[in-house]
Amino acid sequence: MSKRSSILAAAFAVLSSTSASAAPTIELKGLQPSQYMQRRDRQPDVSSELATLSVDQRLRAVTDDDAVAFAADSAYPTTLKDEQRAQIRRRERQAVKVGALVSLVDVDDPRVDAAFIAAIDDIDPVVAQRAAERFGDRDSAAVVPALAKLASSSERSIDVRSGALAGLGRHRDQAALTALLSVLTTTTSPELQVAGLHAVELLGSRWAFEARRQEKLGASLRQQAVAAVSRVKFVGEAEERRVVTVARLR
Amino acid sequence: MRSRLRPVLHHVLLAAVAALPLTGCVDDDLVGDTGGEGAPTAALTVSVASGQAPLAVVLDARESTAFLDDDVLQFAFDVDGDGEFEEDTDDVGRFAATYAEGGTFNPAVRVRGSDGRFDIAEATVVVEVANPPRTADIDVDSDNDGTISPLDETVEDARAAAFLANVDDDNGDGQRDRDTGEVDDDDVAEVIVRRVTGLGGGRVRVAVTPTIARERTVLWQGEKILSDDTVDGGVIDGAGDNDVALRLEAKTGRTADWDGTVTITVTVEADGAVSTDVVTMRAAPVLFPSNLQKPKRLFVMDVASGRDNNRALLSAFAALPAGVELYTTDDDQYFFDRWMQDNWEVGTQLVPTKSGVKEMITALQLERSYGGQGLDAFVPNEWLGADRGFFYPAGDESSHNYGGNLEVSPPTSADPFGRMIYGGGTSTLSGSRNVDTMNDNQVGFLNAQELQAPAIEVSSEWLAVGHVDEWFQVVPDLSPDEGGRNFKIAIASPALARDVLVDLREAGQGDAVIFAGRDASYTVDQVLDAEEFNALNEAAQQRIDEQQAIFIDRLGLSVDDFRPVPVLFDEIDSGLVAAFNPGIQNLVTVGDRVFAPDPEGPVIDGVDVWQAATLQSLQDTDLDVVFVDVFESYHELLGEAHCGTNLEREAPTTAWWTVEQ
Repeated sequence: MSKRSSILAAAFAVLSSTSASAAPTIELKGLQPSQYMQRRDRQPDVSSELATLSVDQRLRAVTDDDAVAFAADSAYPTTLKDEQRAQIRRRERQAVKVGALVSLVDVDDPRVDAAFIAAIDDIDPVVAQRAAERFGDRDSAAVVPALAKLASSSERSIDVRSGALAGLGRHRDQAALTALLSVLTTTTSPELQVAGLHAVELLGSRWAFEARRQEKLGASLRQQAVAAVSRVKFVGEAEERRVVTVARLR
Repeated sequence: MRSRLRPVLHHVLLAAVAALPLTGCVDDDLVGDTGGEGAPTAALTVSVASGQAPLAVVLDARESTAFLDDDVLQFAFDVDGDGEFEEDTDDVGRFAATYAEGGTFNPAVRVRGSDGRFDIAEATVVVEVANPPRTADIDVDSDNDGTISPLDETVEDARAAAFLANVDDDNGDGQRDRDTGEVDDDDVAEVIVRRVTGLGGGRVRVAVTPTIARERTVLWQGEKILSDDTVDGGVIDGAGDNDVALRLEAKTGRTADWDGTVTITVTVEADGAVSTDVVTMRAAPVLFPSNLQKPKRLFVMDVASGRDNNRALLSAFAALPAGVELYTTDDDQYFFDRWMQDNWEVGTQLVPTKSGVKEMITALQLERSYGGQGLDAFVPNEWLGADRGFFYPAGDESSHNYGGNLEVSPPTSADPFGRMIYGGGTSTLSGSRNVDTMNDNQVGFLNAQELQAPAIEVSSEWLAVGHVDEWFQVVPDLSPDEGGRNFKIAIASPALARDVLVDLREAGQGDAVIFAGRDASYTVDQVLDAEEFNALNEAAQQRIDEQQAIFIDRLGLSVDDFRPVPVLFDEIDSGLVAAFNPGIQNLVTVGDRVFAPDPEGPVIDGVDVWQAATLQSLQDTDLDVVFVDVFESYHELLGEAHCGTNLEREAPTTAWWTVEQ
């Protein structure tokens, strides 16, 4: 039984990853239906396992649909309908791409930025949304411009754009806050307003800045956020959230 | 509501009564001797022996003779032949009666001598009715006292008689009895159509309305189905001979599109005249128990071997409170799908009967289909049986449909059966859009039961599995403050978990180990220094606080009704979170004992600091808290103890039919 992946487990696993040579096809235990179907969410979660592979292999898992071996049809219940099987396949592919990106967040390699930027433009909106969110965890100058552009793009879905806002919130620096507030104070989408407010709260997280031991920076960012958010007025759920956000950040 | 038919007799004293002294009369209460030596001899003739109503008949007793020639006889007539001599005519030996109703009557005269001795004579009058008012009359247990009696008629316009959805399997054929096409006397409600006197060539029909009720119920006369798909309804056999007992059952219970109400109309048609009577019945709701109700059976899968076996949990369950049965399911049979909490929610249907309240334990089979390879087969294939049935509303697939995402708040004065609580919402902890909730079919079903509705939605979409039991659970409070509630809500608290760790670090214990001995373990410092981990836990605490506020507002609770237990959350690839340490609030409540996941926190001087914080938090409940190792058996698979179990509990004692709906 594979262990569950987690943000902590992935972070520590990456430190111990080796530079194994790229295999033609990547085999992941966590993609076996007999394994992940026993999880309560019945979803594959493979970032920890991928983190033990080489950076090259992980990059391949993001960019090459054929890099990872998926289970044969016989590994699934025979009574599944075609539609169900297709949906499972889609989720497995999402899990591989996102899991690989998660495993790469802390890798200092410009190819990783490129992989994230490609992923936030993925044809699958679930991959794009989750990639955008996790891109914010990366310590790279490429993050804020890419996420700010995505968050502002009227051509992308609300869900994907909300992922970009979340990514900015997770990035937790001055540039991210500026970009986040720019979108938040100009968008007319109530969904994006709510998402943006959540992201601002996350950006200003006291616990996060304590972990970073940068409480002063946190206080400064929160102060700026309160000033900006206090100047806007939304309606409905977004306005209710705005009041909560201001109270939380003060 | 019709009026009961009673014969109406018009009596006219034919002759003027002479003003004679009454000294010779004997009070009817006095007992005299009838017949024999010294008694008069009664004789009675009728002027007309038969005819159409209204029929005027002279009852003539003047041929009666006294024992002594000079004795003056006293006459009393029983016009309708019921044994009561209601017409006392003194010494007048004739009486004129009018028979307004049809039937065969045996009028009688009592002739009494002055000494009290008397004799009785009878005659026969047959009265025919050209167009008798054949009256429709249908009775059900409208007052829900378990029997059909005259009292029911007094409330039948205002009340609905309860009946069951026949979704169990009494005959053991593996199918719900509603599907067998045979009447099932165990689970049907009686409907009585009263005999229609003088029906002759007329007919009696019974119709079930509205259309959806006709589709969802079956009304039987013997083996014959009367509730066919026509508005006119079915014709009742033998309605002119005797009262006819019909039987009603539902194929489904209350649903979003049917509130369970059935109107049954009986119609008598004879000689161009029509009479109707109407009663209302209503399918019993399915009521779901809270954790406060007494446990009866505890279900758990026996995962016998492998790294993820659940020996520890089963060992703990070896010491269940008396009277609680442990029911284990086979792991191989169900493809190791150990999430016993998720495939069903156990409830109950209750109806009053002659012998007391009948219970049909009724499960809500939840939408969790995965090709039949898992516990989705458990309820229909293994659990179904006599007085054990299920409903299956179906709907779109989402883990938000599972039983772990469905809890019941304890009864309060405002909600005597508690309220259903489920999880859903629109965003991850980061604010990224994630719209997910329980499907409409299931929520509609819950709300259709009414007594525990409207169901309350709280946020759970931020969790990887998406269940409310990932952050709260109701536990009994065995020693509440005077006037206080008899429960608390154990609620996951990242703040408490973190505070304990911060205290350790400040005490120089930053290198203390969390999950010691496990494949992945962490020091206190590592956890407190993980930026995004902490950011998300702060967001988790805020999200939980918001849900607590909803509970307080919607259920009338206070902050003191909650008991925080130390639980941190960790993000998985999907951007959602699951419990980082075994989620303590995801516990199993069995009477006065709770089996809580062992949080496996740092151990200082032999004491697990998270266990200690838990015990302190729950101390005033007087619960017996048993910590159980579920780390590899459940926790690493994104579940905990509650997720792996289910419980049948005793039915509520409050009769739902007495509660306004």
